[in-house]
Amino acid sequence: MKITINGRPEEVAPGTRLRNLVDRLEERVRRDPMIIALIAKTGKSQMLYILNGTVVPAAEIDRIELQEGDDVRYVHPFFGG
Amino acid sequence: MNGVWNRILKIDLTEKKTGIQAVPDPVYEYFLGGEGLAAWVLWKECPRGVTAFDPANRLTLAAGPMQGIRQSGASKWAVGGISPSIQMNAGSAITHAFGIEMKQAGIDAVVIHGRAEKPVYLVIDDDRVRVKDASRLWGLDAYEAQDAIQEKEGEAFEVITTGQAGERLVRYANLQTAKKSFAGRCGFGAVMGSKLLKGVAVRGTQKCAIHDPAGNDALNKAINRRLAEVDASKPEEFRISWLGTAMATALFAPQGNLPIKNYSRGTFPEGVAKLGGRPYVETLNAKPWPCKYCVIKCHNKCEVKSGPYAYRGKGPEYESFAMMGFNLMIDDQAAVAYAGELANRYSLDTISLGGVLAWAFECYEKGILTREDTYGLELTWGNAPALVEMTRRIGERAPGLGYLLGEGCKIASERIGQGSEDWAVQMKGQEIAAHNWRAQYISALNYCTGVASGPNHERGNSQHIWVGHRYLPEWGIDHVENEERWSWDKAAERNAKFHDYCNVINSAVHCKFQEFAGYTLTDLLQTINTCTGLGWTQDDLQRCGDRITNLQKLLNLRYGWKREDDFRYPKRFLEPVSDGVAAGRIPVGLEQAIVDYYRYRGWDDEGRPTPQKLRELGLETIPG
Ligand code: SF4
Repeated sequence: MKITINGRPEEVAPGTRLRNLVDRLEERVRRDPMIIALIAKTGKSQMLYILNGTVVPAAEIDRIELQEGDDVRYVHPFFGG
Repeated sequence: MNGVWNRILKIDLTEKKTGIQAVPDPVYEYFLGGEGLAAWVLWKECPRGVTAFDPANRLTLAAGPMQGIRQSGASKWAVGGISPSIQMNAGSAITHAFGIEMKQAGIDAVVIHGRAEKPVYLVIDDDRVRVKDASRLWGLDAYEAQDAIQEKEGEAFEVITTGQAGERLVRYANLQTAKKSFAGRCGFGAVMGSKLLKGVAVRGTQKCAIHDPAGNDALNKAINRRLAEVDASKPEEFRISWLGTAMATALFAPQGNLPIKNYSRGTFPEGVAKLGGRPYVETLNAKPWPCKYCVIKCHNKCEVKSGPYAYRGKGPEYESFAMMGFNLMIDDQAAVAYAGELANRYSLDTISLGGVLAWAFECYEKGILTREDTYGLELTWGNAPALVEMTRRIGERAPGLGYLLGEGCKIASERIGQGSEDWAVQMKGQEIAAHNWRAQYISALNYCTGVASGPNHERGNSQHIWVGHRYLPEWGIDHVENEERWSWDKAAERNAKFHDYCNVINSAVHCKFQEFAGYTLTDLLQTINTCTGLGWTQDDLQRCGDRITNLQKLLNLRYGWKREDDFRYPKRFLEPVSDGVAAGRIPVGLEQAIVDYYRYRGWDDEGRPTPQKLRELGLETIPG
């Protein structure tokens, strides 16, 4: 099924959970020294995940199954790109 | 096209004439508005040979299709003209509500040329335009002049003014509005001074039709809600609505991006502990002071209640306290804020001020300037009273060093000589803003190749890829690895895209700082489309940015830019620092990266747009 990640279309398997996407993205950003420092300080990357225009609380991430046409954004906790 | 009036107000101060000029749709379809429109005005009206202080220079105050909508960041507007610091076309962004009011007066821009016989200010009250005597305002600082104009004309007017530095033609004099926002870079306050123009007041009651009001309204609400939510979800030390740009200390210090001791050092722990962050809020009693409709709220209103630096007013932005604090090794937050307040009142751009003073402090350290030159002041690193006093001397253009420093450190170092050009951290006549090129090499490329406002951190902020983790995924710039900050791989493409991105933002016009809470290119495109009805795709948007960049480059060529100008960058950045994460790094390979950038853009190796490139963009002839 088609979803949008950071403004660009992507194909994901039906039944894909937001958690799968988050894990994939977190793996990349966890090499970043600024993120490493934040994890050391706060225990988490502080990355923000936005689904269809709303910030998803960390506790909700595991519960969400992505749907056709979903718009997912991830935002760094710094300037927000 | 919707979202614009197709009308600009022309004012000739020499002849005391005003009139409306119609602007056809294709001009907006090509250049949108704001800085793009200001560049178009120069192209049409200012031939080769016109200089900054020439009455023929056009000072353009321009809104874009986004002014008038209730979206966070849509209060931005643009100033353009020929700059006295870089001696070429330039633009500067400014905010609050003047641009909105100008649009409500039924015009997209005010274009001012000529030179008045005596000091004047302009009053634009919907369709009625008057040129008024400002003899009594001459000599007032920028805030006093604003108060005087509003007292006479009414509080409902939005006002711009310049202070004494603008009157006295300090090459980096700015103009301000609402005592909180500044067209800071490139000396447009001095252009006002050269025209004997002290201020402009505007008020309007007209509503410019947009293409899809309901769609735009829904979009604005969704964007505003999301931006506020993102900011509130961040860790405290990066939250803009709490800290404004004072959050940048926590962000930039670990990345080696701060300007320290005239860019000669990599760390300054005492300064990092006291400038920005929580100490900023507590020392300055900082409270958010947003522009109209803004939910990000980067501006702060501050109050230092007692002591030698007591004041109430705007809090310094990151660039201000970095250039006057870190760069001079001054760690007294209140002193730096107070000097910033003085600078704002005189209308001195705080980035250039910090840069020229760092050059002077280093001259003093090396014995090239002595107390005989410095009004008896010790220009020693960390000397806060010297910062304050020198700010006054430059603002007043005091005979001697104060006057000389008002010329900028390029001219000052050429006059003083003795090798001082080597630590004049400037390019093309403009001091470099508060980003260390050694921390991410793309900064060097950005400054060397900037065409919109010469070397400028906000006209192609590709350094944000690393220092702010700001990407443009819709245009193919997404995740980068940290180590890439010291690589030239893909630098040409990334730099070009950020130049074009800044151009569409500054022409739409929208506040770039909304990106601090994740404003996206999708947001920008949808907003432009609901305002204008252009129905653009991301490719169209990028092409618009490319077109504006190329127009600016053509203007650079007209006003005397030469290829070697791009390669005359500050020598300081070729000296490695010995401490911090950027220790030992210097941007080796920059020359080739500049040429690669030219080629990526479709320019020849001399840095000129090729005929084929101009054809591709439809720029063989400029519309209008
Ligand atoms: S982010 Fe700052 S400059 Fe931009 S509109 Fe908001 S308060 Fe004004």
